Amino acid sequence: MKMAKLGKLALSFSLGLTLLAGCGGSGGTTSGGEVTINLGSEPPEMNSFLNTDSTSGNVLRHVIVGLTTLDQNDEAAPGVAESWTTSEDGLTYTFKLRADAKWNNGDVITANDFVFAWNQLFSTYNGADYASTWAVMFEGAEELMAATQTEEDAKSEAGQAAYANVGWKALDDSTLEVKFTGPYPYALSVLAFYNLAPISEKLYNEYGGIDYYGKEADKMAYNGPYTVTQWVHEDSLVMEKNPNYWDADSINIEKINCRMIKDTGAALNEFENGTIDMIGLNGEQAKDYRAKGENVQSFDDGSIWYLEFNTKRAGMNNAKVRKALTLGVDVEQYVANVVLNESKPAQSFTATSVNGGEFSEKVGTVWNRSNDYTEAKKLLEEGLAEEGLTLDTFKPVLVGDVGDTGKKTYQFVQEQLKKNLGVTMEIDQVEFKTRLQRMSDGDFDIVWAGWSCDYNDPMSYLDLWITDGGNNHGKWSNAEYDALIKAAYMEKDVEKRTQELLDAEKIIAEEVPIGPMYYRQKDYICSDKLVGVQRTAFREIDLRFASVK
Amino acid sequence: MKKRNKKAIIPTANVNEIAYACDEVLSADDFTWVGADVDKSNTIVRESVSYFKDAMHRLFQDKVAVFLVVMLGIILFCAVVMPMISPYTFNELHSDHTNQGFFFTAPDGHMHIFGTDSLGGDTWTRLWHGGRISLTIAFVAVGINCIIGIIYGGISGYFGGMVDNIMMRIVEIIGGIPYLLVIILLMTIMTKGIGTIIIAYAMVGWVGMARLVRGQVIQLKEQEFIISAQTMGAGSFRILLKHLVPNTLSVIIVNLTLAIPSAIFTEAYLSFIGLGVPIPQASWGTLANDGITVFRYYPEQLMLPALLISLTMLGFNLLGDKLRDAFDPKLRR
Repeated sequence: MKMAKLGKLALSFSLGLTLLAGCGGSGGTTSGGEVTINLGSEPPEMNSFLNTDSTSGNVLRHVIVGLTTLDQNDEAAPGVAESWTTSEDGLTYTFKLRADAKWNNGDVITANDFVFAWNQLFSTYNGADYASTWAVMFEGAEELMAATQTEEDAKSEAGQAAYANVGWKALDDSTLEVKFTGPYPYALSVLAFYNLAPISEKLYNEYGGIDYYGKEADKMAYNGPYTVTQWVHEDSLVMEKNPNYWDADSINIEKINCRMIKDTGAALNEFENGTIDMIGLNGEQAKDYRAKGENVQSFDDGSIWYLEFNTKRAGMNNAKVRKALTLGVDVEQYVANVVLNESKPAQSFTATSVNGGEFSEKVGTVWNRSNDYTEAKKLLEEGLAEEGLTLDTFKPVLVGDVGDTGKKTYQFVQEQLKKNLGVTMEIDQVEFKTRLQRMSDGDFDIVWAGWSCDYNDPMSYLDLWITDGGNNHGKWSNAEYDALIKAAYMEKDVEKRTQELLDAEKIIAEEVPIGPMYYRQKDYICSDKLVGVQRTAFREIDLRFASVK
Repeated sequence: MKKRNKKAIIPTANVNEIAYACDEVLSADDFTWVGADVDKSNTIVRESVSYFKDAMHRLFQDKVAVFLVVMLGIILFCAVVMPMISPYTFNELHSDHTNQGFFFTAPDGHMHIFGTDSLGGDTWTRLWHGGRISLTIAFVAVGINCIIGIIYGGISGYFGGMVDNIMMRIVEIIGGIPYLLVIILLMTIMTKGIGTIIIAYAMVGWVGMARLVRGQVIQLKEQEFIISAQTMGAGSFRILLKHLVPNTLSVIIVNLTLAIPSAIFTEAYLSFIGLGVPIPQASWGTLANDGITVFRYYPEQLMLPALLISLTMLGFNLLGDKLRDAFDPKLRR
């Protein structure tokens, strides 16, 4: 049950309701000390501009700082940039960098470090998966990506011209000018994402460039509160306080040991033995601990899980069929008996963690689910008849990930559709990478997929379904929807923009390109020693404000 | 008949009388030659038993072996019958009472003898349905292995020379690749299902049987009865099928009995690492795999399928041992 993209960006508008999921208060603590947490798996990509996954993100959050950084309220706070000014049209930002911002070897961070990192990010031949997501926002980025398909292209005259015309420029060593393509309200939060963090060109080349940078603890430059001092692959990673960090005084914990234990049962044993201070819990474990009165914490990880329909396949091309399949699953029972925690049935597509739930509230409940399936069944029969199909000839295959949680989920959905609607659905469980490939190739009928926000705005969800969108695997297309999203990109008026997004959400509810299922909550537990841990949809694990009691 | 026998006893005096009469001189006239007692020497004292029957007889005199046969019989019987007579189907979910213990009775009165699993499926039904799948895979896969192995090994052993040389090199190549690796690779390119597991296992599993049969055939083909069959003009395949294979049967049966637990284990192992039967099907391996995630809280969900796997494997292994003893002429009394 991994997401289509695991990357998570944090963002701009404040989270009205900040999920300060700390383990207790932070009173009476002293600095120093050492804690051990379970990271769950090996960080796959520690090179900041190539990063797309949340596991690496959890480490990078502690060792790398961009122009801005997310504070305790998930709002953009000054990072390497000390202050900034915005042009009147809201398109151009000028950042003033800190004089005391240094790399861990003592070199001062300059505006050129940002220019170098961004040039790498948007050079297509480097293969940064997230580049296209960000390229929309920055002037000259899409042109640069088009001109740098190969290294030869990049060296050609056209390539060099593209590098010269980008919207990010070092005015001097400590001043960076950035031009955006629109008045994005979430621009500053996007700048806190690791992909846009600085990289020292000198150190990058010294450590061996793209093939080696970020592959070992000592093959990477750090500018954050911590540095990675030891990295035993597939086993453990050690972060120690960075003496060169400008705000080192505010960091309490001296040393963070990260373990990579995949098996939740094994992690639980270690936690009970006191060798790990923080672990994630699966449904049964959380239920058991809650029953025992332990202090189980939970946080909304910002993800929504849904059935993505391939609208090019017979049956699935009919909105009535898609809607019936979505309504045919008893999500409440799924959450209560399979997920076993505080996760919530989805009311709309945009998850509740965005904008502190304000947007979701405005959308309201667009999915009126009930335990009476006669209507859904009627809808399904109508839809199938329109496509010349019957329940006997309509046999969709659901593609999902291997693994236990997934298996339970698919088995549940399969049984629900059989029981409630009489639909015979087969299950094909494949490796995560295979699933992503099959989604990109359009080789599926239905996929159980998830999406987590990259930045704190409904747009992070809604622009998925524009025609020909990179993540619109179901190839759904709706001209009205496209127009609304494009208008919202450029809209400065907050009210009008919100209305456009609300209208887009309504179209999703009518046309059902995807069938929303639930918003996920994750459970975890900390030892009594570790206090002040923050986990939110935008900062999955954040120990920068934590301390040891 | 008796009369003649009496007549044949000469001298008529008993032994003591002979001793007593020692003083008298016995001449050749006192004895008459009666010849061999053809009838007696042809009398069948014990019932004639074939080799196979004899082995079975000895097997069933062993209490342990009888116990094993009965136990395996019960497991087989339950696997076949239980899913049919159970009020629940294996893929029916009772989502409102998941993870229940033994003899759980729902509010509306229906009872789950072994409780329910984490999705509310009836554990009892799923367990025996899983048994069906596991045992089907084991028997069919081993059966196929056996057929391929006998034909391949028989041909290789009987014809010998270059044919044997080439065929055995092929066996060595196939046997040289770790078979789990082959199975895993095959499973990833074929669609999931019982058929796939059987094919995957059968593709590599026949190698051992082929070697065994070849060894036996080489040993047997030099014996007189084969030479006599050849002399009488029997064709190669007739000799193979009528004379050689029946004589290797005891070895094959023992090997078969030992191969079944290994097939059950392979199936369980594949299911356990996620290459097993697709949902909502269940085998003992997938049930154990599901059970391990909640082992800490509901240990019975892992222990029940694990127990059945263990009992079945132990049963077949011990039975194989007993069969080998029974078939061994050296142990014959």
